[in-house]
Amino acid sequence: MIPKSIRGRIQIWHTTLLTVIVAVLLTAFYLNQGEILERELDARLAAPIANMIPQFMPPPPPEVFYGGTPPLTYDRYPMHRVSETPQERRQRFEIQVLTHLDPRLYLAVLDGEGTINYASQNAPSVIPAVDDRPFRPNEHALILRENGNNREAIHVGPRGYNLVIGGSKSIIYRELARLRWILSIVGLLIVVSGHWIGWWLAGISLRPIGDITETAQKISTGDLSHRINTADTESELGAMAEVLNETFDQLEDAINQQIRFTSDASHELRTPISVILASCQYTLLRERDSETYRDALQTCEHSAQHIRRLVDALLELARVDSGEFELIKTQADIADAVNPSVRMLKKLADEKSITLYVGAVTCTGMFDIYRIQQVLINLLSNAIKFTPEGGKISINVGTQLDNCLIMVKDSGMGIYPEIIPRLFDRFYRTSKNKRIADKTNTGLGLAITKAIVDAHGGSIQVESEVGVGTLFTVTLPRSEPASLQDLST
Amino acid sequence: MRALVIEDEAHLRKTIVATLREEGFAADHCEDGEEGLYKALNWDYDVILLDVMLPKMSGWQVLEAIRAEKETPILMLTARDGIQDRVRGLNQGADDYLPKPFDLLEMVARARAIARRSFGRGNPVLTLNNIEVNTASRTITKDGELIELTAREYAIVELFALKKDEVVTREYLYEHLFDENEDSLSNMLDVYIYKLRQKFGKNFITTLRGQGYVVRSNTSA
Repeated sequence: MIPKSIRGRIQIWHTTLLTVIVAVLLTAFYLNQGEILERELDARLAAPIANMIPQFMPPPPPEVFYGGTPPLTYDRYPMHRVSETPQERRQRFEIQVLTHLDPRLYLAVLDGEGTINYASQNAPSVIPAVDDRPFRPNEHALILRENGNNREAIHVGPRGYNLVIGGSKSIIYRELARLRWILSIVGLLIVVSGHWIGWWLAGISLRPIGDITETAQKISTGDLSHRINTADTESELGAMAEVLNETFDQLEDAINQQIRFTSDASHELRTPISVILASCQYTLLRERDSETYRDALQTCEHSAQHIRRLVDALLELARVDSGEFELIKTQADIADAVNPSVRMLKKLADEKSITLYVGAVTCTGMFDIYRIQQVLINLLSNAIKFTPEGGKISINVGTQLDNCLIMVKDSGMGIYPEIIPRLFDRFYRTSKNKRIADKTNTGLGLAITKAIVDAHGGSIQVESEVGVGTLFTVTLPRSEPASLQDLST
Repeated sequence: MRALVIEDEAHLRKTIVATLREEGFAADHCEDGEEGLYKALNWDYDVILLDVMLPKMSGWQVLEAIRAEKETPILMLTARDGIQDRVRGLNQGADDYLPKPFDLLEMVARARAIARRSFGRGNPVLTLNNIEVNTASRTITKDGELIELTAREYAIVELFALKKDEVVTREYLYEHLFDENEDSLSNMLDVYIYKLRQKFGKNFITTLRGQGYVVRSNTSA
């Protein structure tokens, strides 16, 4: 059965492959070694022959002797010493030849008819003769052959003499058997150690995967603070781990943002609810005069209105989040949105003696004009809120390339640079502006404004100087990109 | 008992102060953290009701700054009711934590309880010889009989009961009985003391000339 784990599968492949390679290599080595041993034996067999050949040379021609003592070289012709008996010759031969021969080898001499002239004691009983006919007369030839369990080197001499030196192949067999043992053990050791090294290496290289899995599991249980340790992962897995970590970061951010949003939303709702609850409870504690009742009802109404604004804004944002936020785009002129917005907020501005400068020019395009008006009202009411008495606010609409620009500039308190990046966050209010904004502000106006501008494929920028004023610039594309068109239809 | 309400939501602040006053507290109020801290450090309040989300200075900062100098009982009021927020509040030295929206009477009861504990009293019924002061129902009985008292008279007796056998200075009484808007003429106190002596007997309150008053637990009224 093939295990499901990568490590197990790697291991099986690794071990199988290692075993095959080791087996092939060791077998080849073994076979080669067998051949070498055979050749060594052959060489051992053939070597004495070279030394012995002279002793089997034909006798010198008789005319060399002129009587008297034979020359010293006579000894080189042992087989033909005239004056010795076969017994003596045999003894001399054994002394001269066999003493130099490896005792494990045997020696035999066969004559032309194939009769064994001489055989050492350890020689096998059957030693077939070699036919000398393929050879030319007086030619020396060395033949190697098998004889039963023995290997023999045969010197085929002149006149059909065979000088046979043989040796048992059991030496080789023993040697090979020993080699087999050694090789088996070596092979086993290599495979076993290779197996464990492979297991270990696979473990090391797969450990990051284990770490990643472990971290992912921890995260899946809801603890988002965990991250994969990328310090000691291999480069390939390290890259993956980093990508995963980034994903986890984003996930954590998104979830934290969601948590914060929910918590902020509940906080924002609790405040007016606690006002209503406290007023009602206080008023109902005992009999009150009519003015107290009226006060309480006004307070409740005010808080309920605030709750309604909050709920509306929350619903709007929920629509944005769920992708149900739809624009109804028509061919429209931005300037048409400016005038109603200004009319609507004129009274509010007048209360603070703020002068509104409207410098609208036409800029037509495909817009959801009611949403654009919402943007304008949001920006304008914010501007009025944060501009002191007697200040100035200007609203301008312009064209820039394929975009419409809406610029709302105030001479208000300005926004601190560190706040600007978070300005469009939901419920983001600084303690500095909270006091002014709290009355009617939901804390969601700018988030919704941005959502509307984003839905139009536009952008919104803020430039501000503390104590001088703020400029909001909304850039809206007049002709929307194809992809956005697809989305809106 | 004098309370300070630090809450930026005007309607809520108004209601809380009105309720506290009806429940016998002298109550001051302010709408931002800075002013709240100033008052908390400059007057001797029996309890402070502190909102967390405040302009200028957050409730956490105010809490920390008060705790650096004073042990005034503090009840945190906040719309953030996460466990972490509560734990944080209590860990930073708040005495109690009340999440919004809360019940007004619960708020009063908690404020009263932590104030009472700051005097070392856990029992809501304070005994002073044959007099029993029920801080929950704000009634006083003498030998088991209910004594009719005005709110201010009750507040004075309650203070004496909390500080029995201790010398209570006239300044202490003024600071703990009247809020910052009340015109605290010195003879007002004399009038109250006179009336209490009429109701509880001549020896109930002993005047220590130049020091103040003391109510002794061993003197039978």
